Amino acid sequence: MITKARLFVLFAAAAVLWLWTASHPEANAHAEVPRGRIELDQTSFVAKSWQSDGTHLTVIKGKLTYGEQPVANALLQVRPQGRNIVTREDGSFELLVDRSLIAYKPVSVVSVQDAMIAGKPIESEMADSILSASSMISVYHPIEVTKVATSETDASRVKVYARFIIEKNDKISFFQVDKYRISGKVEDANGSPVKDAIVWIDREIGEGFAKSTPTDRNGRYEMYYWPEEEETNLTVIVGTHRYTLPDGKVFILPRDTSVDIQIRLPKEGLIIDDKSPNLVCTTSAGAKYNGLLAGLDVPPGTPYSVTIPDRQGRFVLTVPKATWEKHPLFFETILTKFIAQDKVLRAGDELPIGLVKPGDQDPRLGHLPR
Amino acid sequence: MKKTHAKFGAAVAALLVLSACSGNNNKNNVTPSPTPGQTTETPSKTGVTGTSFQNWGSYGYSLANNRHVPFKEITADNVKDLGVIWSTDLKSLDADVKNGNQSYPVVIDGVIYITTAGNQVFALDAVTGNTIWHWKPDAEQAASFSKAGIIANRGVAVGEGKVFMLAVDNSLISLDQKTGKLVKMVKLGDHIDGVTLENGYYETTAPQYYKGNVYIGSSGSDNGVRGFVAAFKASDLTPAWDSPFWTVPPKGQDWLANSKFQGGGTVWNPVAIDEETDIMYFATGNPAPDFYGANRPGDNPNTDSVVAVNAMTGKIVWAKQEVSHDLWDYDAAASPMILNATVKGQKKKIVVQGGKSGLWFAWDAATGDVVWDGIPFAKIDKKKPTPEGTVSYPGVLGGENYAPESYDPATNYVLIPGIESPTLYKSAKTEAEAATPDFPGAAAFGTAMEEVPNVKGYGTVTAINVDTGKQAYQIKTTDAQRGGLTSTDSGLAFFGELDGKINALDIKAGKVIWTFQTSGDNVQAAPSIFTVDDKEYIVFTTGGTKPKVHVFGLGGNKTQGKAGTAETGGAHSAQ
Repeated sequence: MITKARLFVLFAAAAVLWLWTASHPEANAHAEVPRGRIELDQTSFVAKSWQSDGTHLTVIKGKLTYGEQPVANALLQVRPQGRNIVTREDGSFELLVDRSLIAYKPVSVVSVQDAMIAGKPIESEMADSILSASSMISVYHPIEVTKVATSETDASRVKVYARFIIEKNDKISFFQVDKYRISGKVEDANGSPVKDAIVWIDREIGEGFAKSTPTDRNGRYEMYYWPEEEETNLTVIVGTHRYTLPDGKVFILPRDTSVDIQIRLPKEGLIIDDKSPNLVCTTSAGAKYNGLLAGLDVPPGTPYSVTIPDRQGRFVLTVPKATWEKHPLFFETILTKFIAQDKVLRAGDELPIGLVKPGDQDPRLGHLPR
Repeated sequence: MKKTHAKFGAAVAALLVLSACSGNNNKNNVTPSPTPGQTTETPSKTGVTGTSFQNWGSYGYSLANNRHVPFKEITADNVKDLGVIWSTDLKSLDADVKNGNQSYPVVIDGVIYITTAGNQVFALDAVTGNTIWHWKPDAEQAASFSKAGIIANRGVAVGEGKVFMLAVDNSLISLDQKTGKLVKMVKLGDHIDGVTLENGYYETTAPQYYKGNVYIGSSGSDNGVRGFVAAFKASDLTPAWDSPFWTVPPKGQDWLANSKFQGGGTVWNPVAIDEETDIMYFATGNPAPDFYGANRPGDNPNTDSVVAVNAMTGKIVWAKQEVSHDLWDYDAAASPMILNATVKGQKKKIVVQGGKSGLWFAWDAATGDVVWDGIPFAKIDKKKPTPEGTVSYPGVLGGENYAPESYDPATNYVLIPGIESPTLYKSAKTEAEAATPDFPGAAAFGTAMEEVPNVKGYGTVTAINVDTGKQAYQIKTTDAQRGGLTSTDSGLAFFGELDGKINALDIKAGKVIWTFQTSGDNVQAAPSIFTVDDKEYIVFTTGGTKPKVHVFGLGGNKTQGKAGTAETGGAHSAQ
């Protein structure tokens, strides 16, 4: 069992194309001009489901050097917002990598102000080189392409059948409905939009609540929630004023749908009149989705589509043949997105072209050969 | 009828969200700061009353959270001479102070540091009550958290010349200890993915300071958030660990694979830290949704648990669960205590904690091996929630809620503040609802709880002999115990009640020997005890609609307040 798992990891690691790693200056380690360098004893990690015993966390060692010499007391950081890591006397440091979530995180030098080489402060010409040293940590699910076939409806395109390889006992949540949207408009008593108002809903019983974005100059707000046919309080905060429903009144949110709530604030006082046109609620289309997806790391605007993975992690890309023949890398992302469609999207449904885009912290990878 | 429910909801919410104070490395509690070698200006130059001080340096007195002081001036014989040295109405100091008060005071070098609902901080002269400084969030920030479920706060941590507080809106704040000026404020969400009000996180707990780090947890289990403990550098509020210690899986993995929720297991009371081993111990909240477990199969490990983690690295040492696959909102809520106690005839270092489950546990501090396994201190009669509703004991309030225990080494007794109050638990309302493949929600009760008609809840204080694991005694109190206890070397334990009374318990005898009606509303925090110029003082905070601070000492004013009523009072509202 253990051997099998190890083999799997080795295979996966070997098969993945490390585009960014390959282009990394480490390839020129023996260049004549000394330069700053961050070495990590491992940079690529196959994602592993969270374990209560913490075994999804891996400690890795690293070293910061300038030429052949260790750089002590420099500050490193795993971007974007990791802790400040101070290098030891021998330039070494340790990092904890959380393998339970996909990631692409640069490791870079953020300060050499107190750094030392061979017990001496570093010289200014060294500083730039050391500050430009970087490495990266990538955590990903291997992807296997099982079949590539010309599209039956468009011969210029191919259908690429792929799947995430998930370890046997790991459970992963793919893209699916997460919450519904509550949106609308806040107006003053004259019907003019109110800017920077915040709309709150909170349960009459219990602790559930949601807070909207501040209204824009058109008075528009939005928030995400999962109503359960429950009674909620509705509050609008404008500066330090709190507008509420009349005493004894609660808002009943319908279930399994997004809604639009138009609110007109009273001319005087802080009580929202709960009658039309001062308070109007209508159902609206769409839902917010969340979960793991894959896409192709191709130039923006490349017209390809991707489906929502099924429980086995299988998904299909429809790609211009010319694009696929360039052997593009995949990327993986945990996407949170509002999609304004009436129909609830499910596994196997094709997502709109251009919806799935890589973020700065999303890993890129090649696929396993079949 | 509906109003009753609403009130009940607010009360529950207030209970669910307690926070904690700071912890300090005061072995002798004379040092002003937990940082060895740090010097502070002599108090006489700062205008603070007094020249010698024995401090209450952190949330639980020491980082072991034992809430036991070595003072003997106030005794069973003279406790009748206790009176009010001073008391202050916090709303008179600042009209924007919110209702409710659950602040556990920290007292250092003659200065009392307290927080208020709505996240104001006061530094008060411990002997005179004079305000030394006062900090409040600006109106815009205050407005942003005025509706965030709960606005209570349980206090500060102090270290490196700074006062640390967590604000409702998931901000970590450091203030200059001498001036109260803002040093830095960071949003936790900038460093810890998803920790925002919008996602259901909020902060009520006090942080703890230890070895250059500020340790924090959060509230929000009932909103289905993902629980964590994180460490920040006290110097600049940057992260001290590579990753927070997440108590439960990320959304979509392991036992949360089928759930819309992110799990629960929040750490909403301060950690305890063993300064000999650098191991911290903390208690975790319930899994979400609270009363509906079909989509969170298995034990839901690390929820309703006590977890031991290396404070320097954030790596797990051990975890022990009190309630497996919880359906009753039985958080392990209150901060654990670390004891060096005689257990089964031998000296041993143990970690103890009483849960909302009404069960009290003790584990070997190093290994997590069970020492005492779930000793009941409340009526235990739990039934699986059904759509029609079932009545279980304890109810959602506990057991032991956030109110901390104290440990008296002389008797070897742990004193547990308890609540005896059942709840009518209702699971998903219909078969169709129960069959929903993904039972979602921004709030995760799934679906309801109600008061049990015609049952009047009450409180208890239970003494457990740590040596034998048996109850030495249990006393009843009129109302639920919501504040916690603090004990002294003279054999007394002080605790407050929801009607605004405070009591002194003779620990050995198990009898309340002194009661005083404060001029405040309800007591929802345990007192802190300290000395100035060798005189012993006790500071209580009271909540309700007129949040106050009261300092007691021998020879103080014995005029009592009007009889109060047990309102838990307004921490949920923004009055």
